[in-house]
Amino acid sequence: MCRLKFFCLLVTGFVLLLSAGVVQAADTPSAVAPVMRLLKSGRVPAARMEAIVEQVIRRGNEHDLAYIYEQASGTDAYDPELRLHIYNLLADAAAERQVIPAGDLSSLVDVISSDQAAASPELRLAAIRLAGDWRVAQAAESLQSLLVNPETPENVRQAALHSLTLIGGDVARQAIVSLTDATHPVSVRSEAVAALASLDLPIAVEQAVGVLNGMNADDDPTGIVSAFLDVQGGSDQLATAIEQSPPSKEIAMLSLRHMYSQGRSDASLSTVLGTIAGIEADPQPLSPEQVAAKLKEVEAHGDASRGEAVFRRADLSCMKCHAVSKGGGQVGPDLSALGASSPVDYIINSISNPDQQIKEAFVTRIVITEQGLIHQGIVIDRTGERLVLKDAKGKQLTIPIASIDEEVEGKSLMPKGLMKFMTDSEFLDLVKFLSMLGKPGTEYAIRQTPRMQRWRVLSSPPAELSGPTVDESVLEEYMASDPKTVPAYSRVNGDLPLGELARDTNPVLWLQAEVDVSQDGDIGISLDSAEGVQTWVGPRSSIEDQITVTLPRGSHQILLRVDTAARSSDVLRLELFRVEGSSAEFTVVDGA
Amino acid sequence: MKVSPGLRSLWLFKSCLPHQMTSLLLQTEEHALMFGFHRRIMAQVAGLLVTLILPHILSAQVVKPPEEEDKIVLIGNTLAERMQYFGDWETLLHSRFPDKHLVVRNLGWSADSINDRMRSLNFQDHGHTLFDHQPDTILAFFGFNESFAGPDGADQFREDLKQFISDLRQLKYPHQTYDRGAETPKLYDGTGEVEKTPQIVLISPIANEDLKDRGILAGQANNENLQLYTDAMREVAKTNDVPFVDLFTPTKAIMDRHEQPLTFNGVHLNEYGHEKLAPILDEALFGDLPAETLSDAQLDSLRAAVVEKNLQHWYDFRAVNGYYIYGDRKEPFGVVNFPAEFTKLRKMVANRDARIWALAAGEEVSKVIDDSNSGDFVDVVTNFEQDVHITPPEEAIDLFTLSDGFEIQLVASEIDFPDLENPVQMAFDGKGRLWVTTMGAYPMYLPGTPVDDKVLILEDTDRDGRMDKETIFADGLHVPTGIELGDGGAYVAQQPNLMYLPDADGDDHADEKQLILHGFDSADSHHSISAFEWGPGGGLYFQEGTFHHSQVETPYGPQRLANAGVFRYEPRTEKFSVHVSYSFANPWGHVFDQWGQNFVADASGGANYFGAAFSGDVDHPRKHPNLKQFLVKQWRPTAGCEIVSSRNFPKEMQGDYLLNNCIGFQGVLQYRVKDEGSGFFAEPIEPLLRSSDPNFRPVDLQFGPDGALYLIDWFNPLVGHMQHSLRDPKRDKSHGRIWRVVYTGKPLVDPPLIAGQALPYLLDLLKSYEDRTRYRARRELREHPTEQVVAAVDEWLGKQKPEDDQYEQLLLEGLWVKQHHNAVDEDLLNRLLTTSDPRVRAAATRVLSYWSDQIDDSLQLLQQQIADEHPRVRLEAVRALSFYRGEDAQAAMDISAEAFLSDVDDYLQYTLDETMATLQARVDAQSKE
Repeated sequence: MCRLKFFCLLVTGFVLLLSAGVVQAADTPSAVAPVMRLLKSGRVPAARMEAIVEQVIRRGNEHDLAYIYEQASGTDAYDPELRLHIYNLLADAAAERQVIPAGDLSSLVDVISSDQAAASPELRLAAIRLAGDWRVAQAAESLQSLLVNPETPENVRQAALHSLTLIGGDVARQAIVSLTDATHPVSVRSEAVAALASLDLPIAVEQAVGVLNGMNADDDPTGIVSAFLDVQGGSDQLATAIEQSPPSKEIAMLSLRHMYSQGRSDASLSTVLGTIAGIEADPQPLSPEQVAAKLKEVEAHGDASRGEAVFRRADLSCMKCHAVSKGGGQVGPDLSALGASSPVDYIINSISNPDQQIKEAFVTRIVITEQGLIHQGIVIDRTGERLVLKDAKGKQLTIPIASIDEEVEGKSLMPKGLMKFMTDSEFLDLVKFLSMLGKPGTEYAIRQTPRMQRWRVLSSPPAELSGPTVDESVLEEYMASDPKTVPAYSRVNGDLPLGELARDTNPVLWLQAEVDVSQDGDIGISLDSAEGVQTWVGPRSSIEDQITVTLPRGSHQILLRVDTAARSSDVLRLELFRVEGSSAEFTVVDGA
Repeated sequence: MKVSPGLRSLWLFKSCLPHQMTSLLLQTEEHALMFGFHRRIMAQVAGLLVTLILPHILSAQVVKPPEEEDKIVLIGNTLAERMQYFGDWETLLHSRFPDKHLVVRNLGWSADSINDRMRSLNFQDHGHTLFDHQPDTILAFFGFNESFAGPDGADQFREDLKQFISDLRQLKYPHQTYDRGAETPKLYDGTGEVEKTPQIVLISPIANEDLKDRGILAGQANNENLQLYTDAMREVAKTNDVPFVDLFTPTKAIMDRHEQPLTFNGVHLNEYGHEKLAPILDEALFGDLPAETLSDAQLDSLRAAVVEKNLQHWYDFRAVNGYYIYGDRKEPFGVVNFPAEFTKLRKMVANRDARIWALAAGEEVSKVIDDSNSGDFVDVVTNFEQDVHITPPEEAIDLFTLSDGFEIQLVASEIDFPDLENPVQMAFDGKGRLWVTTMGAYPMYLPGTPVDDKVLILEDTDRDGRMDKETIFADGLHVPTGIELGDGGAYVAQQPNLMYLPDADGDDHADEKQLILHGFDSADSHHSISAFEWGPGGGLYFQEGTFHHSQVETPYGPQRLANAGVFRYEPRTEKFSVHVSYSFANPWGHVFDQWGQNFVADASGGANYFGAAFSGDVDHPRKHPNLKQFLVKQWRPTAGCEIVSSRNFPKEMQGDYLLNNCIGFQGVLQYRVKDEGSGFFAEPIEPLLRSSDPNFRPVDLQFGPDGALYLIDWFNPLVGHMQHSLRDPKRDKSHGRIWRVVYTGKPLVDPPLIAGQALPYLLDLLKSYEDRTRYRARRELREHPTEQVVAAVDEWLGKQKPEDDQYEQLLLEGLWVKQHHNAVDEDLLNRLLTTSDPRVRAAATRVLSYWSDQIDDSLQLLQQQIADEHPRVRLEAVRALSFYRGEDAQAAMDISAEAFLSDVDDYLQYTLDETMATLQARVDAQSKE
């Protein structure tokens, strides 16, 4: 690319300068030399030690890190908590900046099996993670024994697998391959195949076919698919292999949807999976004439209310990325005012060809690392040292610039070919719905009141809480255990469709709504109807349509028990309001 | 009455561009003022001078005289760029070679250097590479920006220049574009055959001069290096067989006579300077001036025709929506309309070439230029399917929902003031009048239709709350996205440049139009410089959005910024810097609180930031990484922010942060701001107002002199640069509203008298409750003579009682007034650095950061501030340390580490990381040398 000498000089000089802080050269200047002097000067009070150590690890060179690692490992200079913190920071430095302490790091093997590690599972986990991040080959055998030992706790086993994958080599490969045989549960086999994908692609492909073909309709192929998508050439090789030995139609369908939800539509794999699943190939983007025709059809036949149901469908994954009225994913643009700002043809084009117009904050990059891994995402941040991408799951990933082998501008994270998952009339309805968003005076207008849009549904409440009465002490204990939840979103008009959430076996749902209070005071909570609903704010509960609570500054949960069988309406709506004379200031909490 | 009319115009005298931007198609003879006579005398004087020192000016290689229909292309820095506005040299050229039918194209670009030329994406596809132009002669104006590398850089310059010449011979003239977020540029150039090897003429920089009354010492600072680089150019020209013109020596000779400034800022020629330069350059290129064959009137007409041709070429070359014309957003709309538009525009430029040739030959031309041969536009069909309903004001007012106790009132609309077309930004003057820019030309010039955007002064003479008088302060403007008043005139965005409009005679009509800063990019007219705001100490701030690649020449060296940021400009000293280099999408909103802390709003994504944390120095192309937002984001996109400071508004709202939303929510959001460690945190509270009128587009908001909140309503059913064709026929171009929001529970504030008041009275206004009153009083105070202001401030401060609650605040106000005047007061500064109120200590530390070049022990002072007990003072100290370079960088780095001896919160950690990264890079770069 450097066609001119002046530019080469300029850029080369600049690149050298930039990489100075990240490559492991013996003479890398320390970016924290003044901080190191301060640290060694004895002027640092104990209370400031943590911040200074953090700074050194976050910005220092390999010698600075070696000093801290030695201090943390060899002596009692730092207390156990700080030591754990240091290990975690060192792991981050390796993963995000590719800086690892200078010198021999094999002492880490001793740390993994030390008394301290035995006493502190977190420390052991951190040391295992470091062994991988630092590629400590001497640790391979102890990791292998952890991996194959059935007594090993699940999180330790996963960490050992991850680190072994990073270390690589024959010991690692054999250990991981041994986990793919049919004696292990499908979940373990899948993890092993996923790990192999970055270690030894041909073996991984071979094993993947076996595992995928052995899957039942309720098994999860997504881990394997993701792993192959993340490796250069992975999706093509997987496509070739499963074309010859196809998995079940259901597994192919799940795999295909997963690909799309990752913003990936690699041609070979999506074609193969589509064929097995019985879905036709990617349609071409619409021509201007087709767009014009669709536009007329949307006017004539589109139904916004049916379109909203299409938008909410799990298999299209729209809401995994997009929020409406602030409830929904935070990956793509919030669509609350889409119809008010964007004409219908623009919306049609954006679905049929998401790459055509991309808002500046949503341009993606595809990065291939030196290790052959592929990352695609929206650029959240970039400095001379690191690139932070947000992927289609909303997850942020920090990639050291020095580890990037190739980088190209990506297209939209939005999957191409979504139209093939919809019938013609569903597409028209969806477009109609989107074109109504934000139109004042309709039920698709921007939310006017503090109305709950984002809910959390408790995913597996204990049986005691599903019966006709509630034992408050069980409830209290359960809620204190930080129970698992899944998000649910109201329709644009605020109605939460309970039917979409109700589980087959039990009509009782537990929902959480969140409110942030910035100024203390009385706040009203209003339900469309309290029929079948019991509401808790703190310890207090109510079965009324409207309640007033006094809430202090801070974040608060509103908990609702909804007996769908006892309720005549199949939707639920919750609004907050300011009580007459109250000075409270508050906002409902939205988001993913 | 004006105490000091048109101060700035005194600074900038004779730099005017009298008809450059207003005269378009209907160029008439009487526009050209006395050009010929003046020109002839000057030419003779300069000719004499040139003859005397000619051997110096032109090196051994002789310029080949042009042949018929030759194309002469000017490339290089602002010296070349500004020549197009004056036309003097081109006039001489055509009158010297009337029968040659020469085509001249000015591709000069602010801060272009032999190594650095930034352009927005795919500029090479627009038709203005050297391959596209295939010049016969290239006049290459370089050396000014390069000279800031100093003596150490001279050898490298010689090397690079050699390569540069060899590239130019092959028409290679690439530019750099940065992907958003990238710190390494990509290199682009045109492609094609070299149809003929061009003659290259290297042209040196001019000398610089001191403008001591403004503290500008460009001559002292730069001339030694300019001489060095001029010599290097001469040497390289000689060894590479290209002609060379030395402009440094003859301009230095004129400057040394100290008769009249040649420049308006020490480095760029004013009108007088261009008059002087033209014959020097002409004669250096082509030998003795020939006997003039044209009359003065004919020369005047010729120059007017040259300027008109250059203007149309400028609209093409620097078309203000490049991203939609040739960049990444040309699909799907731009490809429909723009090809025909630029075909037409280029034909229009060619028509003007022919007109120039006719005038140069002494022929008569018609007053009106016949462009009927220039082709037609393509019809653009709207994709805005809804019916457009222009809501009448009386209907629109009922569509507002306001917080309890508030009322909204119509202040002005297009019905009473038809000129109020798409208003964008406002400012209140010292008489309480509202100034507003209008933007009917948005999104950009349509070839053949003269632009006529305006600055209006609206006045409520009968004090009934509604405007009843309009004065057109300026017209003929092009997409003026921002305005602020000061220095006896107005600073206005004249896309893509910054223009100053003085009103020295105080008749409420701009005396002239002066382009004072060049080189802002033109990729996207809604990302162009906007949200003009004075800082408390006299920095004028404005912002631009992503895609833009701006490079601005200053007396202190070029400043570059790719992909968004906030600029800071000191008009007095001509210091210009990037205040915040950050990957904003499109910042549009900037406000300072009572204590000088600033907040920046990013329109597109709706993010809002605490300014101190990310306004430390970075060296291009590095940008600050992601900073957390200081408030809980609600609805995007936004346009404009303001802090509540009005006795008309309820007590509990004072200090709240207000933010306009212009799509979807369409109203004014409100946030309660709280101190949080070194920074701030704000939470949403009930919005102040919203409208269900789909046309309501609030784009600016500011408290007026009466304590009411004024809102500028751009009023447009159709917005969106990306969603609709830029030429969508449904884009409204003729409506606009101004509203004010009043709290009915309390009286309005008595508007303060500011204009024309005596110094003691103005200083007492600094005790006012309202932030905006103090803001406007400071702005007025900057227009008085510095000596008097300094004396008056000292006397006024002496009278204040230390036991008063406001005492420390008043000391700070005094310091800021002095900062406006660049009147360094170390005693007062030192006192405030250690005073009891941490907010004042933080503000004083900020002032120190801008005076560090004028204070000897500034690093010691910062070592004191970094140990302050308040985290915000420590953050300001860390921020201030980022500005040190050279030998001081290591010392600043060492001091910055001492921040770790106190608590380091998120913001402080961010600023510290950034300061250390900046300093580290400087230290490393030095150790490599």
